[in-house]
Amino acid sequence: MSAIVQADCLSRFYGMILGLNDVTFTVNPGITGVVGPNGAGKTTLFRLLTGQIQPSSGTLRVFGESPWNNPSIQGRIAYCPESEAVPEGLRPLDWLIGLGMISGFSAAEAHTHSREALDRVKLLPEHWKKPVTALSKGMKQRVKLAQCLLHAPALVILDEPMNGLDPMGREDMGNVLRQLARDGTSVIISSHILHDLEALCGEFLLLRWGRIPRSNQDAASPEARRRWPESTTFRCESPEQLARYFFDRHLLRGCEIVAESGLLHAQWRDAELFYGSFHQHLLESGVRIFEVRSTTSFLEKAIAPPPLL
Amino acid sequence: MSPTPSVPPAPRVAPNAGHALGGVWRLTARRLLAPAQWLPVLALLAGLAVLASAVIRDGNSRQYFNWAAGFYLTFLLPIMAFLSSGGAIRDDLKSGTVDYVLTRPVRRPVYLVFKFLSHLVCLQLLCLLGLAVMVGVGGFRHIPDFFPVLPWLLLGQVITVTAFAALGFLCGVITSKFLVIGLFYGAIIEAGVGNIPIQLNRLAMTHHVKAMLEPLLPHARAGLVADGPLATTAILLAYAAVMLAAAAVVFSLQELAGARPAEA
Repeated sequence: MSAIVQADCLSRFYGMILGLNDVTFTVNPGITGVVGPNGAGKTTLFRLLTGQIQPSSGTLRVFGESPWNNPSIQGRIAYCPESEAVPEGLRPLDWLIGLGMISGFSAAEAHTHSREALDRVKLLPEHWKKPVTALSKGMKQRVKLAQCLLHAPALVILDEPMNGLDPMGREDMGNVLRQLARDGTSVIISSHILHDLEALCGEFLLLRWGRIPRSNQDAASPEARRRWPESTTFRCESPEQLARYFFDRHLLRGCEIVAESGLLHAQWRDAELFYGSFHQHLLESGVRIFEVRSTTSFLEKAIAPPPLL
Repeated sequence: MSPTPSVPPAPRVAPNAGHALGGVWRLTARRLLAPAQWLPVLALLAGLAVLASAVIRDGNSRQYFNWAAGFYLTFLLPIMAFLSSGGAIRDDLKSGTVDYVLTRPVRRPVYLVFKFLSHLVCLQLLCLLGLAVMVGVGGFRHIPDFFPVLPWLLLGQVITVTAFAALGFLCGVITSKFLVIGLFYGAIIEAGVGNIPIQLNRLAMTHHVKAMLEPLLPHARAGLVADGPLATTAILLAYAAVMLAAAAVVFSLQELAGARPAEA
């Protein structure tokens, strides 16, 4: 599997301010999540990938070429920025037709592909002729995604595309991205909605303060993601009784009970021991369970700040 | 988990300059000629009509032509063309445009030229309305010898708008404070050097337009050395081409959105 993006000792500084600092990574085909707190360097990375800014040092290759000011690369990628800024006075269909023509389509082709793209992101036709600026945040996100789909790019780069989308919208967007990946299009996506990213992405790139900390990257490795969660939250009829059951079997390292909402936050001594006999434990406890969920996702763990010494 | 991808798809489309020009024109014209833009344009035209009617007296063709050549063509239009073009290219440097348009397969100098041509056509169309107002005022004030001069006024308008639109693009690409550069340029070159009776005054673009029009107007003043309409047109188009080329070079070397720390 050849990498679609390759960065070697890539840095980007803004005077004294650090954007990316000596990062080396590869991105393989498929859906890759870029995760990190605000200011981690995600948008800087995307602007480097789309050829809008140049590296301060190091090299960046997209499909084997430098993306800076390179139309042959720009013809194969599409970018959906985080910014909500969209051109004023334009309607989604007009905007997409114009962008499609700039990509190389004739007016008729651009019209056809624009309609297809707007259909694909499930923007209802009654919104196609309203000004883009008048659309809700979620609808704008759909239009922004649609403009990425026009020219069937080989790589789609999405900066926080889930912002402003309701759960159904996020599900729709996830389905579009999965379909893109099935069709052979690679996707690089950043989002603060980590559970969605976990469900969507095959690989992750974790950034912090412009770097890729090795420990964080290891924490998000496929091996780490196969491990059982170390803590679990139960919503049940009697959290005290459930906690007593787990304690008696030496499963718990610690727990917290929120009696009024019927919650038990359990931390396991050995998560595999519990999950290995998950059904048996829950049946034997005799407590009516309404909900079981992992308290922290592996991504949340991976990007959690290091403990203060 | 993401599905296993197959072979990346071939690009659906190859870059095409003609289609790209059509796309840029479409995005520019839909914004500039949108109904929402008509109100300020109509207000401006009404202001021009009122001002011209107030200044020009009935049948006074000298006053009319002095006003048309000295104020409308060489003061008002240059300012409007400069401001509109500088603002248009600054708008295109905002993330709302850069992120969507300049991440597509069109070379930046080519994009800038396409943008200039699209904006210029819209601007010329809007300025035709200004000339129509001037014609209306001429008719209203019963100006004699009016229609023979009209083609020259139109030519003067077209080349003035072209040259100052190119200047606006150049200043707009260089800095967001393009208005400051424009003020300095206008004060030093157009109003200062352009009015000194030495060869250096040919640096001023409005000087060429005045010099071209003056012999063609009734009651021509002596003293202005005219190059003739063809030469004047060639000179101003050459000025525009040089400024546009400089703007294209700056534009292609610039880092656009995300180049400043606040945008990182």
